[in-house]
Amino acid sequence: MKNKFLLWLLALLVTLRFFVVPVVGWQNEAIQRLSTQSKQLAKQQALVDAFPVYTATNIAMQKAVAEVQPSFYSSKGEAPLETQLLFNRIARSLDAKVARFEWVAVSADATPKGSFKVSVFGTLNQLSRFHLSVESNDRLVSFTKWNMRKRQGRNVDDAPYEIAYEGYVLVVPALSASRVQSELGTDEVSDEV
Amino acid sequence: VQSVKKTSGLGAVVIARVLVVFHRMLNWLLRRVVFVDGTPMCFAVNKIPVSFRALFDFSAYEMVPVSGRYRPLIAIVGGAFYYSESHKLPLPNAKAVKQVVKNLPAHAPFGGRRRVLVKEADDSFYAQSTTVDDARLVSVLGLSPIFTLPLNWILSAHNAGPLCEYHVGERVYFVSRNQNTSVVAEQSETMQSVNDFSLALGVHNESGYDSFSDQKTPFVLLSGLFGLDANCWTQGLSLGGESALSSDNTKLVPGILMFALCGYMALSSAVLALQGVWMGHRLSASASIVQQALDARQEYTDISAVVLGIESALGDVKSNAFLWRVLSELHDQGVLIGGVTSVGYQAVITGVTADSAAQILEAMRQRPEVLAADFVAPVSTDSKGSELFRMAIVYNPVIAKQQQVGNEK
Repeated sequence: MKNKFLLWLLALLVTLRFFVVPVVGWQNEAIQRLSTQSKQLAKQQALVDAFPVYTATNIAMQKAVAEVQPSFYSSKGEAPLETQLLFNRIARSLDAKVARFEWVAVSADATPKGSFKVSVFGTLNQLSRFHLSVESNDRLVSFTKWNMRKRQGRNVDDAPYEIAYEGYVLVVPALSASRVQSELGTDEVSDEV
Repeated sequence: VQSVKKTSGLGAVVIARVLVVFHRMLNWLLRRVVFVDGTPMCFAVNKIPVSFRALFDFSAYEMVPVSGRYRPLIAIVGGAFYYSESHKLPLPNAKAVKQVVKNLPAHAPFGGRRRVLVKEADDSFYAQSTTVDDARLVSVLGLSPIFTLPLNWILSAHNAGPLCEYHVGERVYFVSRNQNTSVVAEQSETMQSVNDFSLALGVHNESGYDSFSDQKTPFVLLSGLFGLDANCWTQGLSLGGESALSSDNTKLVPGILMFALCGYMALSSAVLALQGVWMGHRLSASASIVQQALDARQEYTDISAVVLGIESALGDVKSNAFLWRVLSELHDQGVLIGGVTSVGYQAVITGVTADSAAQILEAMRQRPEVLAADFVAPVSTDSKGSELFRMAIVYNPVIAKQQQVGNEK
């Protein structure tokens, strides 16, 4: 009877050691894995729920950017030459003269700024009109700092002025709505962007 | 939509497989639940259930003769296999009632273990003593069952009206139920109908009675089985020392415990594994739409940075139109502009005037756009009597415009 009891006890211990404990360990791992997966699923669900909002916001922002796009350059390569041509064209129309144009750098921001320095010769009237023409131009040109002085004797009324500007233009990447459009399966964006 | 359809299709297949497994397990279990009144019968469900709810629809269950030799888990014994008697005892507690009833002289025409159920009603204890003919039961079944449950317990536990008539095989049973107690009687020469039964009990059956035909026996027995309380299961367990089968069943205890442990482990592991598979399917099914959402979020981040950059750049842009207008007016007044330095809305103007530089400063201060104006160097006079000045101004055309709008209002 005693031997039988010991045999049962041994069987119980062996079962616990080689069956119950490993299975419980595996179950714990499985529960942890399930917990992680359920959290992951919840995050995914939140992301999927926000998907239409992101898409709608992206379309709205693309439209907004597209509306102001003509005011900026969409290529870093074309910005220096086109800026210089703009100054030359305006100065020539006013009989003023661009003496020096120097392209400084393009910053590495999401909306890069292309910095430049430019010097223009002309009378006070010509420079005034030059400045205002640049400010009212389609392309946004911002003069951050400028210095105007008479080139020759300061007491001579007719002596021309030289104005030295420091400023920047914006280089905004051309945004394509084609991917959002294909995801939505509509032509809503392409007509307007 | 395709991914959703794929998921639902896969889910239906998984559920169908699980239902098939449950169906097999259920049939295995039902084969071990037997009803013995004449020929031993066991339960079976032939149709694979279409949902988990259908698993517990007992009306789809059938009774078939027991085939093969195996140990029954539960034996429901009919009227031929037990002798039952009731006692009403004015004793203080159920334990004392059970003790007294067990010591009362046995009236059963056969030997066997006496199973006593005690219930309290109307400040009294009612004891039902049921003696099962265990020896005959073993000779009929071949092996001893683990639980032996008399039919009168099952019929009492069946959830039906207060007065019922049950046709079970060739026998007919009458059951009367109160709030806590019930009386079961078998049809006899002196008690032919429900009316005789209700008259004998003094029960008025104005609302009629429920009758259950023999076809409904599986439904009645299984419903009653699920309605039994813990006391019935304890009394029905055939492991007591009084039973002739006790030594046989004692050997089974470790096996049952081991089976229960292994069963629990296997079942819980299976549930976890299924959940893991299900979760994996859900994650992989949503991968495509999640990737699209991630792309949209990245696009949102990129475009937001561009928009913020544009807003910031536009906010920094300052128009010097006002300053040029001032210079033009000074020039028209005869002031010779020597030079101008401008940073944002701050400027330093150098000039020569034949008039008073102080007047020019005063006129400048009167302008609404000018926030501050002052000389930054002493005013000097040249040989012609003209005054040379160097004047700094701070202006804000936006503020001036707002003031103007406010004044107009």
